[in-house]
Amino acid sequence: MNRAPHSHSLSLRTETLPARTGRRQQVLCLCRHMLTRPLHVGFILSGITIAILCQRNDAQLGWAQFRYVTCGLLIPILCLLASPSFRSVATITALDALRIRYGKNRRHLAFRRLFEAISIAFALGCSSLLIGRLITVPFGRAAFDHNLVIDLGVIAVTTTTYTVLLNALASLGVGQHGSAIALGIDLTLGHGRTVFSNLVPHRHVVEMLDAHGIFRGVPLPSAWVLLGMSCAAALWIAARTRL
Amino acid sequence: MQSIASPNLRLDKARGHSLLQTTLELPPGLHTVWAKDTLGQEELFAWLCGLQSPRRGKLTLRDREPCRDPDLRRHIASLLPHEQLPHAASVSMALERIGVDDRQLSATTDILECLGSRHLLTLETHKLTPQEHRRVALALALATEEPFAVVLHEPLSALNQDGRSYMLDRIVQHATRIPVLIVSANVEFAARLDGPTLVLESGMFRAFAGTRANRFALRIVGIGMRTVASELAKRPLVDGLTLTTLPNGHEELSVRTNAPDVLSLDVVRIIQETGIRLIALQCTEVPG
Repeated sequence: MNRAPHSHSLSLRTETLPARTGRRQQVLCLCRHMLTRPLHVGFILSGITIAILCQRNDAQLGWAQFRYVTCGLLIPILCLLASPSFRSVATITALDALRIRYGKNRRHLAFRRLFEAISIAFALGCSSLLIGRLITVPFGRAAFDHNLVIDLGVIAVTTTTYTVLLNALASLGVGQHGSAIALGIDLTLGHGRTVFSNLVPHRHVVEMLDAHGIFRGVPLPSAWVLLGMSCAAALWIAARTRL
Repeated sequence: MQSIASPNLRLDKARGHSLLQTTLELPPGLHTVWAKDTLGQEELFAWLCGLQSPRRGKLTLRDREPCRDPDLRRHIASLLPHEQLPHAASVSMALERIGVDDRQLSATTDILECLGSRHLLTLETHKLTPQEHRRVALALALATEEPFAVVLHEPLSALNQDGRSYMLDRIVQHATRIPVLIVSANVEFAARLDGPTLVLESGMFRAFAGTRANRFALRIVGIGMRTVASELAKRPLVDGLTLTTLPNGHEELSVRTNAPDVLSLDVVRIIQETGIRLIALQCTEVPG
């Protein structure tokens, strides 16, 4: 009697995109991916929420901090658990499985994948904030300028940008671990300034970004807590893939 | 003093999600598993290839664990129940993409050439049929340089008669040095490979307890039968072999086997290759 593979078993085949034979099929494939990736959208929205909340002054503990934690941590975790693509996070891709089978070191592959995810996330996060900045500058406002209409406009634009870019990358076969990428985006958006101010040796770069209203006002201590939590989540995902 | 690693393939109290507690030790030789159902097959092959490790217990080859040893994985020739290649403009490119080195690629090309399927290497991967995928994967498996173990699932299913004979030869050659494990759902095929040694059913291995298939006697008469005898003597399908010279100068070769069809084809192939004169080929069933 056949039995379905156990839910915890390591699947050898996870995401195989259909053969791209024509432009119409490419578009259909892209649309299908956009519609079937609630996890990505959830992560992106939560990342943007964090980014907005980081603009607020949350020096005093209380409701603001609660909102921060709820939106910053619970939403992504719930999205992760509720998403049907959760299992794909915990599996290795078919290509990686083949490479491992023919003698590649799985740690090497894992590091490469994480590096790829983080670098793409940083690139997307920064470019998205710049897009937001460029959109709002002509109106004489900074990105995420405490104005509901502008905030919503930027959210809409950045969400669309992310979704299209992520799915375009996925359909090209780059960054199949989109969830890890989304986690990286979450991290970038929420803690961009913290990371920049600590990792980039030239502080004038940060000052310049601050002067232009990019990555401004991120509270450092709480950002570090979230950064730690994000890293723990990334490590947990890595452990799930038995890297 | 340097210890010499045992060449055996060992499953030591291994337990997975579908496979139940399993302890097996497979020394060099041909081991056939008759899989009565599909339960546990994928898991078994994932263990054997080093893609997964058992939840409990362990799998070792040469006293090392494949899932922890990339170098060891390179020496395991495998054909999985479901084979696929990544998308690429050609099969050769797909093989390079998954990390197959030039020597193995060249050996794969040679094997596909012998199977009359060299053209497959130039096709786009998504244009291959499942059978062609398996043919490429089998060629790739048997092109493994200095394999430590060969694990194959239904190895001959995607081949024609000539291809089967050629591949069987290669598999049997490996079985003289290293453990060769063949899993098949077809008990007749397992019987042709000198009978199944194990049965896999409901995720459990057990020794094959069925009665052996009927014995057959192949009687081959011709001139210059010694060459045929020396070739057949290497095959595990042959249970006994006698060569006698007849009064008219012809030689008679009697072979006892339970796989007369496979051996008959082999005999015909050897005769064609060597140009030996064949006078009679007869098969009879013998009791016991």
